[in-house]
Order: sequence, then C-alpha cells, then structure tokens
Amino acid sequence: MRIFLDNRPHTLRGATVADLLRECDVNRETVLVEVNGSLVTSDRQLRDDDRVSFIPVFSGG
Amino acid sequence: MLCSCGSEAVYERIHEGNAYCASCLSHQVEQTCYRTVVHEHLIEKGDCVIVGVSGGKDSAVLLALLKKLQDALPFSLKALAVNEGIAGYRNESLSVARHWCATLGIEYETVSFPAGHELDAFARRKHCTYCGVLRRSLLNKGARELGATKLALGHNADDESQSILMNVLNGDVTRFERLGARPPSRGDRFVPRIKPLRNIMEKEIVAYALVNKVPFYRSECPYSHDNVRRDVLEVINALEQKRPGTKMKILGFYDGLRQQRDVRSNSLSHCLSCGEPSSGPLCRACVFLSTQASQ
Repeated sequence: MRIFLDNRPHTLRGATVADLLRECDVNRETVLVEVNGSLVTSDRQLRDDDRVSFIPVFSGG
Repeated sequence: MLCSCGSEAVYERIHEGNAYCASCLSHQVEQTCYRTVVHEHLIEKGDCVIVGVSGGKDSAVLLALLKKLQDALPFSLKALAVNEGIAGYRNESLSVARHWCATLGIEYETVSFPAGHELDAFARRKHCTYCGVLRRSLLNKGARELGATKLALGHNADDESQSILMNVLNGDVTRFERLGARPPSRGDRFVPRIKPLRNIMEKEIVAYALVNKVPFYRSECPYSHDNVRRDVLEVINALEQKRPGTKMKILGFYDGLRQQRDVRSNSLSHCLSCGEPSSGPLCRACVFLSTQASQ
C-alpha cells in the first residue's frame, strides 16, 4: 500500500496505524497520528493515498 | 475503535483500555484538571492566578481550562511570559501566546532575561539549569508584582514523573519534596506555585489542543536536546510503551510516599499539654481529660 507520510510517499507493508508505527520504529508514546487531517487511534485501517502525519507530543521547553 | 458513547474515537488511554471521541476526551481532560484544582485546593475564591506562559501546548491548554473554570469559581486570571533571549524560537512562541491571550481576553505581560544575560549569550554548558533558575526567579518576581496569590504552571503528568525520577537519580531529597500539584510554600516572597495539569498526560494535552483548536507553538527549544530531562523522558517513554501505566504509577508512588510521610510526621508531633506523641496539637487523652474536667 502506498500512503503519504508527512507529505512524502511511503510504502506500507501492514494495514493499520499501529503497523505503520512499528515499521517506522516510532514509540507510540511520542506521537499522535492524524490521517487526512483527523486524529485517529492505532487500529485505524489505512488505504492507498491516505495522508498521514505524526504529531510529536514533546514540544516547548 | 469506538468511544463508549458510540462515536469514532480519536484517542486511546492504553493503560486503562479506554478510547475517547473528541468530546469525551475534552470532558475527561477538563474534569481531571478541575478535580486536581478542587482536591488539592489549588485555587480559591478571589485568588489572583498568574499563569506562566510560553506559547507551548501546556500553558495554552492551561489558559483555556482556567478561563472555563472562571464560570464556576470567581478568581482573576493573567498571563506572564518570560523571554529568555533565544533567537529564532522565543519571539515566535511568545507571539502565539500573546494572540491566544488576546482571543481569550486575558491580560498578558512579558519579563525578559537581563541585557547581556540572555540564554544565547550564555556560552557555557548546562543551559537548562541556568535558564531554569532565572526563569523561576523572574516568574516569581513578575507574578508577585502583578499581585498574584498563585502562580500556575503548565507542568503535566509526564513532566512530573520525569522530575520525580530525576530527583531520585540525582539523590536530591530536598527537590524531591518540592513536587506535587501544590509544592510546599517556601516563604512570604515566594508566590505559591500550583500545577493544575499535573495529573494529565502530555499526549492528552496535545490531543485536547488539536481537537479544541487551541493554538500552540510546536517547535522544541534548541537547547533542550542535551539535558538530563531528555534522557529520563526517553527512558520513561520506553517503559510506558512496554508497560502501559508506568507514568501514572510513578505519580502514584510519589503521592503515596508523601501521604505516608505526612502521616508519619503528624504522628511524630507532640501534645502541647503533656508532651506525649500526638497527631494534633493536643493528644486525645488530654482532650478527654480537659473535656471531663469542664463537665
């Protein structure tokens, strides 16, 4: 499946947001995930051409 | 995944096994904040609360929550920002804070690091230590001059769990005792600090900001990469992923310890009348004896 991750084309082997986090080796505690502009949970099924963004949780200082 | 109300969930609280839609998440976050305010007696009627703001998500959400709380509890609310002099970062973040305060109708003030002592001019290592000391001092002085009876900070559950562990790693018992939603007062010149977000996870605060369109500045401080807090944060996040609930358990451990210590220190006080151990000013035996004598 081909999605857009932070505006870049990305080939995903799995099917869900949880799979994407695992494949990208991202700790789920450090990001929220938006798909096509909406916040989603980790079981969200992804589809071709979905636009996914990782929103970092840690910011400021 | 569905929220218990049947709507599509936007957030999952993994350690509890619950998922929340935007509306239920907002309700949860607001209730957790207000519960902390009430149970810990953080804000009382007539208080002048100054919120330390940076333009980041914590202080932006804190302003929104306290503004709402004013509908139920009469207190005054102002915002105070510290400009540490970090080029390409602080002016931008404070611009977001200033606009958010204007939107909410909250008075906004800024204090700055003294000329020549800006963070960018501090050439040595340990920027975070230097910055933290000066920020706390300027916030306290600025809040006092604005007539504050409370200084509200946007510290969240993640910050607090990191502070607890950092103090353990540093062997720093004195600082360890200064944590909690309402750290112990340290004298007349110190405005009492309160942390209404202390029991809310950082991730929930970001989610709240996103679903409620609370504007916040998203970049990280350029000096925050090489500090102890960053190392501790990574350890705790790794543990939280493997063992959900770790952060809240660290907070629970601290609260339990403090409670036990309070009980212990109470039990170590002495009766003002007979000098025997007592949990109050007079031991129960003396209270009984004086009651009987007066009858």
